[in-house]
Amino acid sequence: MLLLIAGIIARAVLIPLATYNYDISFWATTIQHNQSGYGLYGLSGYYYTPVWGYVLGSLGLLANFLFGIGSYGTIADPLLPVLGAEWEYYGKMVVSPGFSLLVKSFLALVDVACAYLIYVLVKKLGYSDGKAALALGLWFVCPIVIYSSAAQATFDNVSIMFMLLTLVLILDGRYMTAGAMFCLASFTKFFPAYLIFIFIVCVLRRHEDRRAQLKALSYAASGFLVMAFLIFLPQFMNGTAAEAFGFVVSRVSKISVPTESLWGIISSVGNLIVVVLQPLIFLLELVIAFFAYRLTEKAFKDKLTVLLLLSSAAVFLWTPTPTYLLLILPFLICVVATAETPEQKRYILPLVSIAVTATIYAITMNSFGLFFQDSIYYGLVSPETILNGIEWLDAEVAIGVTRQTVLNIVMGAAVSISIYSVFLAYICNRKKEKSAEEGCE
Amino acid sequence: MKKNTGIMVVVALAALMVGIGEASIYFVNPYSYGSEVSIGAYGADYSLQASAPTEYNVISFDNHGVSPVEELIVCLDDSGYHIRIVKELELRGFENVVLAEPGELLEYMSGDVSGKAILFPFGLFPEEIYSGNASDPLFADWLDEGGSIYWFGCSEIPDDAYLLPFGLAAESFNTSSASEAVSRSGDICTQLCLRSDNVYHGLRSDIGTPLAYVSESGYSSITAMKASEGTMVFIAGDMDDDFASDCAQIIAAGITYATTVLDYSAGIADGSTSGQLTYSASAEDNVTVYVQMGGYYTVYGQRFQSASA
Repeated sequence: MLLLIAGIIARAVLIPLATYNYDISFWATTIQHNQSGYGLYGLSGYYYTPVWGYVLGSLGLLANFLFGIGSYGTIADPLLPVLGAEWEYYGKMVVSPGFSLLVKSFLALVDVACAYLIYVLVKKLGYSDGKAALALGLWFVCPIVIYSSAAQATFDNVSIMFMLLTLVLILDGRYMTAGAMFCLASFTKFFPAYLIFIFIVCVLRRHEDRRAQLKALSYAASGFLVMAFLIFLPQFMNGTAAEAFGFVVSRVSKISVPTESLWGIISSVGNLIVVVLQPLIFLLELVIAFFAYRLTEKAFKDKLTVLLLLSSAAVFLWTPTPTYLLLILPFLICVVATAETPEQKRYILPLVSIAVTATIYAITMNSFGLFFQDSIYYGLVSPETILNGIEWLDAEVAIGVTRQTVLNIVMGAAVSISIYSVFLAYICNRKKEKSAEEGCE
Repeated sequence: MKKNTGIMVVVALAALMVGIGEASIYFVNPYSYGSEVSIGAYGADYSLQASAPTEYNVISFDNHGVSPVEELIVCLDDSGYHIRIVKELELRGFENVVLAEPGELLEYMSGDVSGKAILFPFGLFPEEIYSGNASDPLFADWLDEGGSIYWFGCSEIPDDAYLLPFGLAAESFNTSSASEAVSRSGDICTQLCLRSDNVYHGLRSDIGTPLAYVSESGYSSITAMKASEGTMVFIAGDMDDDFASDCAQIIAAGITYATTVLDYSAGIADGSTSGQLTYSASAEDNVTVYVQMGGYYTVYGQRFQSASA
C-alpha cells in the first residue's frame, strides 16, 4: 500500500510539473494528422507502426470533444536560443498543459494496468498474494516507469501492457487472444517481438500431445494474423504500409548520415552497433528458448521468470534509450518479488541498478527541457534559468566535447553495465548451481 | 471464469482504445473545418466553422501589387520529397498543382506566367531551363515575366557564376551545419505559425525578406526576394517535415517578396466563430486573407483574395 501511495504521489507531482516536450509534440502532430483527414501516414510526422497512432486517435477525440482542448502547443520565443545547443533533442515546441495532462494521465492508467497484470502473472505462477502485491508495488513505484509516463510521455508501457497480456493469456490457455495481443505489442513497439521464441515455448510447454501443441500454436498464429489484418487494413487500402515501418528505416538510414557533432557521430556508430548485434541477439533468443523447451516440467515452472528476464535483457545488448528498458522490468521485478534463496535475491542489484541508472540517464538527456512548460505556461521557472542551465551543459569540457556529451556517455555506459549485470547475476547463480550439483554427485 | 474477468476487461478496454482510434482516423472522421471571408473596402469579415475547439489565425496581407501564386508547377525528381509538400498544400486548400518532369517544364513556361510558380524541391535547376545565363528560359520566359520560384537550393549550393544572374554569390549562403540560436523574422512567421528554424544553406537575412527564422549569425531559414520581375523563395534546412509544411503554408497563403501583414486575429474556434479584420482603403485591391486552423499543428487552411489582387 505504501508503494502504491508513493507511486501515486510521484505521478501527481510529475505529471503537471515536468514535461519533456520532444516526444509528446510528435503525438500532437499525429493527432493533427488524424484531424485533418490524412490518416497516420498521409502527412509526414508519424514514424511508428499504427497501434500507438490509433490510441492517439482516441486520445484526440477525448481532448477535443470531451475536454475541449483547443491548443496543443506553441513555439516559445524566450526559449528559441536553446536551438543553438549542440544537443538537438530539446525541441522547439512546448505542448499545452491540458494536452500533456491528458496524454500523461492516460499513460499513468496504463502503468496501473501493467501493475495489475504483473500481479496476476505472479499469482498465475503459483506465488502468494503477498509476493504478487510486492511485484505490483515495485512496478508502480519504479522510477523509470514513473518517469516514462509522467515526465517523458513515451508509450513504451503500452507495448509492455500488451506483452504482459500475451503472457497471462498464454498461461490461461487463451491462445487466439494471446496471439492478437502479441500482435498489438509488437506493432506498438517492436521490442516485444523478440520474445516470440520464448512465448512459443510457453505455449508448447502447456501441452504434451503434439497435436494439441500444433492446435494451440495455430490458434495463436490466427489471432496474430487477424489482428495484423485489422491493424494494417487502412494502410493496405491507401498504400501507406511501407510508411508504417518508417521508424526502423530511419534508424538504419541514420547510420550513414554525415554529422558535425560528436553526439551525432556517437549516435550513428550506436545505430550501426544495433544492426550488427541483431544476429547475435536472435541467436541468444533462440538458445534461451531451446533450453527452456528442454527443461523438466518443474524446472521450467521454477525458472520461467528468469528465462523471460534473460530473453528480454538479451534484446538490449546495445545501449538503449532509457524508456526501452521497461521491457525488462516486469520480469526482473517478478524474479525479485518472488525470490526466496540468496541466489534469487541477487537480482535485486540489477533491478535497483537499472531503475536508477535508466532514470538518471533519462533526466540527463531531458535535463532543463523538462521545465519548458513550467516556464512558458506557468511562469514557475524563468527562461534565463533554463537557458543558463543549457548553456552550462553545452559548454565544452575538452576539444569539441560538451558536458552534455560526457554525461550522456557516462550514463549510457552505466545503463549498459546495469543490463549486463542481469547476465552476470545469472552466470554467478548457474556456477553456484553447478558446483552444488557436482557436490551432490 | 470469474478469475479472468479483470484480464478480459483490460483486453476489452485496450482493444476499444485502438479500435475507436482507428475508426475515427480512417472510417468515420468526426472532424470538419470551414471558413468564409468577405473582403471589403476597409476590412474583411470572416466566419469560421470547426467541429471541435481549434486554434485559429486569420491574417490579412497586402501584396503591394505583386500577384500571389494561383498555380504551382512542381518539378519532379527522384527523392519524392514533393509529395509531402503537395499533400500539405491540399490540406491548406491549394489544389491547383501540376506535376512536371524537368523536360516538360518549358511547355509550362510560356504564355501568361503571372500568378504561376515553379517549385524545385532539390538543388541545381534542370539544365533545360537554366545553366547559368540570364538569357536562359528561367529568366527570359519566367522571372522576367513575373513568374515565381520556390527553390530548395539547400541540398547543393552552386558556384558564383551560376548565382550571379540572381544577384547572389556562394558566400550569400550559410555553409555551416552547426546548430544556431534563432529568433522570429517577424509577423509573417508568427501569424503563419512557421516552424522551420534550420538555417543550413540559408540565405543571408539582409538579402531579401526573411519569412521564418533568422540565426544569430544572420542567416534566414526561408527568404523571399525579388528576382527580375518575379518572386524567388529560398528554402534552407535539410528538407525535413517542418520545411515541407512551411513551404506549403507560404504558397497557400500567397506570400510574395512584397507581402506585408495588414491585420490579424487569433483565438479558439469552437463551432462557429466570426470576426473582422481592418485595413486602410488603399490596400483593398491587393488584399489577401488567409485562414488557418490548428496553430502550429495545422489542420486547415484557405486563402481568400480581393477580386483584383
